[in-house]
Parts: sequence; C-alpha cells; structure tokens
Amino acid sequence: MTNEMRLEFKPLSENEVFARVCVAAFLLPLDPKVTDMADIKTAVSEAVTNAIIHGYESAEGNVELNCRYEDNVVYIEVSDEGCGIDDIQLAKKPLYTSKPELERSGMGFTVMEAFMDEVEVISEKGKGTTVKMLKRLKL
Amino acid sequence: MDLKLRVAGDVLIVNLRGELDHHSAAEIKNDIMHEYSSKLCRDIIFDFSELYFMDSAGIGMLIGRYKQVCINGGSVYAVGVSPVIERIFELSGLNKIIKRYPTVEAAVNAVNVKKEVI
Repeated sequence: MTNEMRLEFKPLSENEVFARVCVAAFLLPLDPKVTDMADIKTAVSEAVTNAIIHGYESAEGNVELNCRYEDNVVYIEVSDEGCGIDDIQLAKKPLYTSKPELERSGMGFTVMEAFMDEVEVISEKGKGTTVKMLKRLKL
Repeated sequence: MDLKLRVAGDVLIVNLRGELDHHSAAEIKNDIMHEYSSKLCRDIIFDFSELYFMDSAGIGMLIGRYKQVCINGGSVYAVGVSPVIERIFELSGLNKIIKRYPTVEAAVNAVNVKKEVI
C-alpha cells in the first residue's frame, strides 16, 4: 500500500498541533501501534517547531511537510526556506540550543533521532533546512 | 491545553490537560509562575494524568520550573506520567531531577514529610 500527501502552512506555533495531527490522520489506514504513532507525532512536532522558531523566527515564508508511506515504511520531510543552520553537528548535540532564553531544552534532534529509524538534516545558510525522517512501523 | 492550578499549603498543584508543545508551553508558563509567586508557594506538583502528548518543549518548560523552584528551596514532583510521556522523561534525564509519585495525594504527603524532617 502506498500513499502520499503534502501540506504547506504558515510558520505559526498553533500549526505545530495541526501538522502532527494531520500526519497521524494520514497514517491511520496503516493501523500503526500506539507507540509508533506517538513517536511519529513527537518527531513531526519537533521538526515543525524547529522550522517555525529557528528557521523563520519572525520572517515570512511557509513550512512544507511531505509524508509518504510504502507498505510499513513512513517517510516524512519537513522543509523551510528560512535562515538555515550554521553547524548541523552542533545543532544536533543533546542540550544545545541557540535560544536558551525561550526555555528550549536543546533536545529536539535527540528526540527525532531516538523516535525515528533514520534522520537526515540538509541545510544551507540563508536558503533553508530540510529534515528527512524514516520510520519502519512494527507490524 | 487546559490548565488548572490549585494551592495546598505552600504547594502549587498544576493539572495539565491536552497536549504540551512549544505553543502551549509558552501559554501556560507565565500563568504557573504568577500563581507560584503570588501565593508564596515552595513546591510544584505536576499532574500529567490527563496529558496526552508532550514533546521537548515540555522538557524545557519543566527544567525552567525546576530551576525557579530550586531557588526557593523547593522541589518539583510529577504524577500520572503515561508510558508515552515516560519515554521523553527517560530520554531527557528529567527522572533525575523530578520526583515521581503515583497520585497527587502521595506527592503532597511526600512534601509534608520532607517539611517535618527539615
């Protein structure tokens, strides 16, 4: 079974719940386990939050979310055309945050990597960031 | 996110209902700290039994409250943590700084015992 969808939305924090609930609804035909669904929703929330508060800050632009599945493998891509990441390895480091004043825990990428099977970050300064994630659902 | 705040002695009991993400964490942070300061509280008990989702924004919000409560010599307690949210607690090390109890009553008793010892 294969299926694909694409969402585009403004970088507003109220769209964090919109994005993860849309992905969860899209995956319902696969009848995922509760833990797999929770893992994916959490990872999507992390990636979308990063796009909103780090990618765009208060700049204009849209967040794009692509989601596809082939049998029990789920592919998710979250993209922004924001400021990009200076140092991806540093950004991925647990507890590192560029915005400590916002009470960010610096655990976003750590959560994505723990809850998904594969996470790839592609970023270019001034052009934007894409986070690609893959999850193999338990049957 | 539905937030309910209740004060018992110098303990602030925070009931979180719904989903805790970056958007809702920013909304509830000031309400919690306003109640904590104005009612001269020392400890905070977070009741997670009606919380259905939490991402790393919840970790940041809880560590922020932990730091503020520590300044007053208090502690942060968590009750009703579901298995899904438990994974976030384990991954982030929140278990090392936030004491866990099965119910609000058990956490309130633990706070009172701690005060008697002091």
